[in-house]
Amino acid sequence: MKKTMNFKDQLKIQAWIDNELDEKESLAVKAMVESNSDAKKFAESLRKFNSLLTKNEPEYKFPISQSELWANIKKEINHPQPRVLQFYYSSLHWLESKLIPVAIAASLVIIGGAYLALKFTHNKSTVHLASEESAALNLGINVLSFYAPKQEMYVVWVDTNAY
Amino acid sequence: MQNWVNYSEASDEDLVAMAREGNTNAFEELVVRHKDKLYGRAFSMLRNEEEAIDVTQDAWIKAWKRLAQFHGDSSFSTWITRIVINLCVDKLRKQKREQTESIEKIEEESGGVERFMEVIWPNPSEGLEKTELRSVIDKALAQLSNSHRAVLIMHEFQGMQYKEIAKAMGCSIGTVMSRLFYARRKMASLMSKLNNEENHEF
Repeated sequence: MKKTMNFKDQLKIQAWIDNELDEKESLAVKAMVESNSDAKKFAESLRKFNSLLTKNEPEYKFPISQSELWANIKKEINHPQPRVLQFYYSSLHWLESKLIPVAIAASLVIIGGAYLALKFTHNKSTVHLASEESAALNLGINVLSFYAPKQEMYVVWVDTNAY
Repeated sequence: MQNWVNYSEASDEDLVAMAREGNTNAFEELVVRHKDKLYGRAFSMLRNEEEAIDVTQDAWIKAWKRLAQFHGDSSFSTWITRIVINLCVDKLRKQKREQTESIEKIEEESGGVERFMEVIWPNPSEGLEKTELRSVIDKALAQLSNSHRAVLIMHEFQGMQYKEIAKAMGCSIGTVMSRLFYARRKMASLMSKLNNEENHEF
């Protein structure tokens, strides 16, 4: 069993006293402290010292009057910008908490928009096809196209006898 | 019709809820309740009265603007004290950037000569009354380096965990551990010295 403490050991004991170690590490340090008199003495002194500090925190009084402090604060919080910022922070929090549903909703909107756009494009191509048909007819080529809604497809009929 | 509210008897939670709705009277009551503690934290970190007043005021203004962000995960007092601590750390960081640090100062950050000395934890409070002890702690804190003092205050007085301190100070947990270790040791040594001086005076 190691009888001397190095800097690393001291930091480990400190972390143990500060409740910063996980269960496994905590047990290892506890064993070291119980078996090593220097470590034990160090741990006890450190614990006492920490307790001494936390129980005797110096107290300070705010050096200016409440009315002066409040006047300074009120001057700033009555400014219109804080309200805007408050709305911003509130919106930010709302977005954070609802980010997933909002993202899903946004995705659905995008998909829906894309679907509508495609549909619109299809209609346009119908017009395009119709105009091409007219052009083809003018050239003496028999072309017929139509949209079959049940099959969701365009059918283009070209009369080969015309060639 | 607005109901009459006794602000001084309302809980912090109720006051925060009212302040969120834009009630400045409720917010003023929160200021009355916590101003000394906030100032104390700022002063103990910065050791400058004027800067501590500015930081405290800024913290209240920030808190008002960010009330919507306060979800009650911790107490209002803890939440606003964290705002003060962050402002102090920012201020100390700016000061550090502006100053060229001496070799001795850098040495102190990493333990200095004390690193190689035997670890002794004297009883720095021997024979002291509570008021005297607080005064000794205050004087000793004033003599610590900014980074040692900040870590010590955040851990001992604010009860922050290593990882929270590391995040606030923008350093690693290992750095927090060693700074805290040296800060405690230096603090114990300063307190012992101050205690001896005080005893000699009487």
